Amino acid sequence: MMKVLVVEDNPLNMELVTEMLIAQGFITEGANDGEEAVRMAEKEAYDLIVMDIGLPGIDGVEATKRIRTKSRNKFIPVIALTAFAMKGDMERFLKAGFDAYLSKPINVPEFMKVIEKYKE
Amino acid sequence: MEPKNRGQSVTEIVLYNSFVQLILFIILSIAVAEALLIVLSYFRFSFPMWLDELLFNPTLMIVLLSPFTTPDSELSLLIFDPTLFALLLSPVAYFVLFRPWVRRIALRKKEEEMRIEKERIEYARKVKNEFLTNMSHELRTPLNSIIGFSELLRQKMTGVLDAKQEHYVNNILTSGNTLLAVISDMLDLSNIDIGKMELVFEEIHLPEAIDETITPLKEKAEKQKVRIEKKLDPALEFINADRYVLRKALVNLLHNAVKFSKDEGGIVTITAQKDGDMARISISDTGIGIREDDMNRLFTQFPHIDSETPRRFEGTGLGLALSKQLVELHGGKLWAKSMFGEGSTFTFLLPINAGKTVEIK
Repeated sequence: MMKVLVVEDNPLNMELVTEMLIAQGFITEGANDGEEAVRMAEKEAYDLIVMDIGLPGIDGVEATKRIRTKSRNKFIPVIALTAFAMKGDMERFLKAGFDAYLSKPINVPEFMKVIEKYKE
Repeated sequence: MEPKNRGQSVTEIVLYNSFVQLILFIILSIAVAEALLIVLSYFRFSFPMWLDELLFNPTLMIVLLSPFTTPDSELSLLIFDPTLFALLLSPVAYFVLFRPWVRRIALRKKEEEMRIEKERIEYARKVKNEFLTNMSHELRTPLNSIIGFSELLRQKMTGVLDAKQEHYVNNILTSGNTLLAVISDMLDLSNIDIGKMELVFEEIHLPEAIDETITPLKEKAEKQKVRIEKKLDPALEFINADRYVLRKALVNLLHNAVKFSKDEGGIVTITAQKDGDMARISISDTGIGIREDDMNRLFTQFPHIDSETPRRFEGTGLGLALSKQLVELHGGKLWAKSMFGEGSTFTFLLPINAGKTVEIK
C-alpha cells in the first residue's frame, strides 16, 4: 500500500484530506508544519506528499525544496494543495517544482482524479 | 571701511534722514515679510497669490520708491554713497538672485513631495495587494472543509443519507460554491482595480474551451430541461487569448443563460464566429429577458441593490460586472440585448490574436 505524507496546519482540512486518501486506499501520515514534514520525510520513505503552502514557519515551497535535498526523496511526487488560488498561482507553484497543483476549496472529484494518477 | 561723503557718515545719514529711514523701512519690511512667507510656506501655509504679487512686484516697488527720488531731496546724497547705493539696489538683487533661488528651492520641495506621494500610493497598492492575497487565503481555508466534507457526505462515503439529509447536504454544497464564486469574483475585481490582473496569452482551441464550460452545466440544464446548442464557425478554431478571461466570460454568461431560461423547453444557443480580427461569441437564451430600465444596472457590481424587485437579478452576483471588465481589459467588448419576456443575448468580442506583444500590468 502506498504511504502518503499530508502536510496541513488546519486540523479540519487535515481530516478531510486524510479521509479522502484513506477512501482511496492509501495509508496516510500527517505533519502540521513544514519543519515537521522535513523531519518526517528524512526518517521515513513516502510514496507521495500532499503539501499545503501557507504553513507556520517555513512554507510548503521551502519544505518541498528541503525534502528533495535528501537523495531518496529527490524524485518524490509532491502535490500542492493550497488556498493560494488567485490567477497565476497555479503557474507559480508548478514552476516552483510541484508535480501537481490543486486549489482549495478542494474539488473532491478533481482531487480523486489527480490522486488516481499516483496510484500504482 | 568707512564710506564717507561730504563729511557725513552713513550712520548719520541713516539716523537723521527720514527719507532714507523710510526706504530702509520698506526694504526691511519686504525682507521680513518674505522671510515670514518662506517660513509659513514651509509649514504648508498657503498665502494668497495677490499678496505675493503685491509685495514682490518690481513695478510696484519702483512706484513706491519714486517719491523719494526727486532731485532736490537729500536722496541725491545717497546715490554717491556706495553702501547706500548697494542698499537701494538690494531689491533688484533680491529679484534677480534671491527670488529665483527661493523658487528653485520651492520647486525641488514640490518634486520631493510628489515623489513621496508616489511612494505612498505604491505602498498603499502593495498593502492592498497583500491584504487581498491573505483575505483570499483565509476565506478559502474554512470553505475547504465546508465544501469538502459536504461533498464526502453527498458521495455517501459514510453511508446512505435519507432524502432530507441529502437535500440539506446539497444545500450546504450549493451555498458553499456560491460563496466561493463570490469570493473569487470579488478578488478578481479588486485585482483589476489595483491593476494587478496580468493577462497571459496562449493559443486556445475555442470549440474545446466552449465544451469545457458546457460540461459542468449539463446536469443543471438537463434538470431544467434546457437544451444547449452550439453554432460554431469552422473558420474560427484557435484564438490567442488569456484562458482565464475567456473561461470566466463563457462560464458566467452560460451559467446565467441556463439559470434564467424558462424551465421545460428553454434553448440556450452559443454562437461563435469570426468578425474581422475579432472572435464574436454570443450566448442567447429564451428566458425571462431583461427590462429596459434594468439594462443599465446589469453590469454594475451589485445590480440587485436599489432594485424594486431584487429577485430578478438574484444570483448573478458579481459575474457580469467582472466578465465585462475582464473582456475590456483583454481589448474586447461585452454587451447585452434583450426583449423582456422573450430572452436575452449576451455577446462579447475578443481579439483573435491578442497581445503577442502587449502585457497589461
